[in-house]
Amino acid sequence: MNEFVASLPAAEPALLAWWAAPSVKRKPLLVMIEDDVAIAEMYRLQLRADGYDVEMAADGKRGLALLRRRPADLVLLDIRLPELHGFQVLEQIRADATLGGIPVVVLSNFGDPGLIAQGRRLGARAYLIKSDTTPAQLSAVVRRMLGAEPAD
Amino acid sequence: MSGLLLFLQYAVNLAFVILGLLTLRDWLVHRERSRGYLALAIGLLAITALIGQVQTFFGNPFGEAGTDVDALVFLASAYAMLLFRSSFIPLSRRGHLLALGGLALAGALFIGANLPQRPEAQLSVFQQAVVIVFVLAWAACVGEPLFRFLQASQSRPAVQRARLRSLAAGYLSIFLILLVAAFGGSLATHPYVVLAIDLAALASVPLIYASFAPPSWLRRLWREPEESAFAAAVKELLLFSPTRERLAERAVEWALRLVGADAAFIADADGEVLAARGMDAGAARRLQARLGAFGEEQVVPVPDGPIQSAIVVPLTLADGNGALVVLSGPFTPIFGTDEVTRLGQYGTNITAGLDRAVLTERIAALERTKTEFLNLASHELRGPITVLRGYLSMLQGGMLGSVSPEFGEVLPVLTAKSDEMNSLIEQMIEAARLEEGRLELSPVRADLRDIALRALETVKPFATSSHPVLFEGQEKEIPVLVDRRRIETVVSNLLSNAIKYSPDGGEVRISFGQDNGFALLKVTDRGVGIDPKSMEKLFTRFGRIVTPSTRHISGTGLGLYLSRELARRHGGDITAESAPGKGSTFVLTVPVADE
Repeated sequence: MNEFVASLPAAEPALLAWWAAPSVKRKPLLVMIEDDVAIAEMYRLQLRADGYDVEMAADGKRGLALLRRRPADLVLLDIRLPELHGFQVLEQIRADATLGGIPVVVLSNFGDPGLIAQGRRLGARAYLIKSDTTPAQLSAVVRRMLGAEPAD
Repeated sequence: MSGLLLFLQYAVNLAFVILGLLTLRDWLVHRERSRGYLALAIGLLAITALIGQVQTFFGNPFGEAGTDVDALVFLASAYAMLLFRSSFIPLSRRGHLLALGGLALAGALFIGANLPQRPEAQLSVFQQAVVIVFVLAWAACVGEPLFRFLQASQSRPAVQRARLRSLAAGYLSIFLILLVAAFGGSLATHPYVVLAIDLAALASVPLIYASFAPPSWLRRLWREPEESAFAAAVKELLLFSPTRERLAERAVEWALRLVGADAAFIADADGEVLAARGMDAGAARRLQARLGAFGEEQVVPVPDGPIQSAIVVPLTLADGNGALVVLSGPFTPIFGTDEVTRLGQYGTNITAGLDRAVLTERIAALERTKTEFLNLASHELRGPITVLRGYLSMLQGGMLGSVSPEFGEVLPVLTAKSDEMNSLIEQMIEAARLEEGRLELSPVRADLRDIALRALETVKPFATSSHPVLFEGQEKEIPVLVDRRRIETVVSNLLSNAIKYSPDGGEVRISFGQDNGFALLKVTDRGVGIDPKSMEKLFTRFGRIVTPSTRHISGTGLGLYLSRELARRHGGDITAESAPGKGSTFVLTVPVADE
């Protein structure tokens, strides 16, 4: 978890919020926008096992379309994407009235300080380097983050 | 005394005749318009001297006519001087007509005045006026060019300045002789005055000679004050010019100064103008096309336009022939062999400089490409390693079901190796960052022991029973100001090297120390050690030391390079001591944090 830079909410309140959620009617929905199928499948395997619903899109345009169809609880976003660059997707999510509040976690193998800073400026909640993030670690990040969100 | 005076008079006349012949020879060799006029001016002076001598020797065989011809030739020499000046600083048509008119009037009056042969004879008022007109006409035609030359010489390079001054000084003494002879009256016949006049006349000969054909020792002497500045310029040209364009600009500037030209340019091998001074690039390109190519440096006439001639110096560049072209302007003195040789030598320097700049640019481009490749390749490698490490971690965590006991045994090795690969990729990315200047440290206050312990964790899988790692911890905290993650990488790199290069086992020791505001971390092994001769290579990029005992050990050769660079970015360093076959000690120094 070397390049995990963006600030995360403290763990304990997050966990409390998670357990305190009144009733879990449905599984939290994660949208993963990732063009590398092997990586996407691997993370999905873990996340599904941990009780999340995971929808996938292989490029930026489809990712946005998917989000507009099914507003997710959290977005896992790659940066180097076909069709629409990850940061453009991030900007459009932020600019969207309904999608604007969805937490976004950037998952990239490019970890230059400049990119990380740009991701943070555009409102990403976390910036993870894929090769340093095991599926279990990603799942833990997602769990903490969703816990911090108001229960829906 | 009179014998000496007679002898001196002969000597003066002979010297002038020789001078005339020398200028004639100079013109025949160089065949240049300006040199022709100078030869004419001095040659006519010589003829004046010759006629005077003949008159004295043979007791006026031509009588009055001889003296008249002598006077006319003398006046003609003044006009030749004006023509010489006009070949550098063009004289208007009116100026020419005025000068010719004045000289013709002086000549006509001289013939009409019937001046007496003997200098001590009394002159009538008319005759005195004639002498004044005569001297004034000559002095104006000779003095004006000399004055202009002296004026122009101010901004010339040293050699030209000295040549022009020498010419002016030579003519000045002739002018003074003329004044004394014309207006000195009885004084002019006094033996000492005659002696002084003859000596001055004799002195003017080498001065004039030096102005058109200065010997090389004299040119060196003249050039000396400028030499050091020029040498510095050449050195700068060869060593410090960042780009070819900048280099060419500087070279052109110095070429102008060297010969006192008005314009110059450098054409590249493909005919493009690299730099131009005193003319725009378009004009330079057109002129270059018209001049064509030359095998060696030479003076080339430029027929039309105000420019008289050009020195073309071929530049034999690696990519083909370019050229340095220096153009004379109205104020440029003679382009001689001196200038051509000098520019030729300078051309060699320019060629070397331009080619070196090409090499430097190519090497820089190569370096950039390599760094870009390193950057891209390492990022590409991160994709597959993500999947490998991910599934391996899931396998180990039991996410993918149970595995056979045999597989369970190799799983830690797979994990350790994929982790190692991941950190190698990280090293490549760091190296690329370092080279592109994108590496930024985020120093925080930390405990060096803590960092070492964390680093130890990462090499745990390799620290088997054959490689025990001894941690000689200190009781007290060692506060340092470092980028934690990076120094941790550096330490784990030192540790994994210590283990890797101890193929026969042996303990690895971590110890600490302090030295003058720096904290020390030592990693000591009992491995293969490093040959003193290879020490230099140890910290270079991709510098791996391959010996029979280490050939089987893998590595990118980036680790130590990167580690030292990172330590140095912190203001610290990494040093190594080693005895081949006995082991090595690597010492990392990092700045201690202030309390």
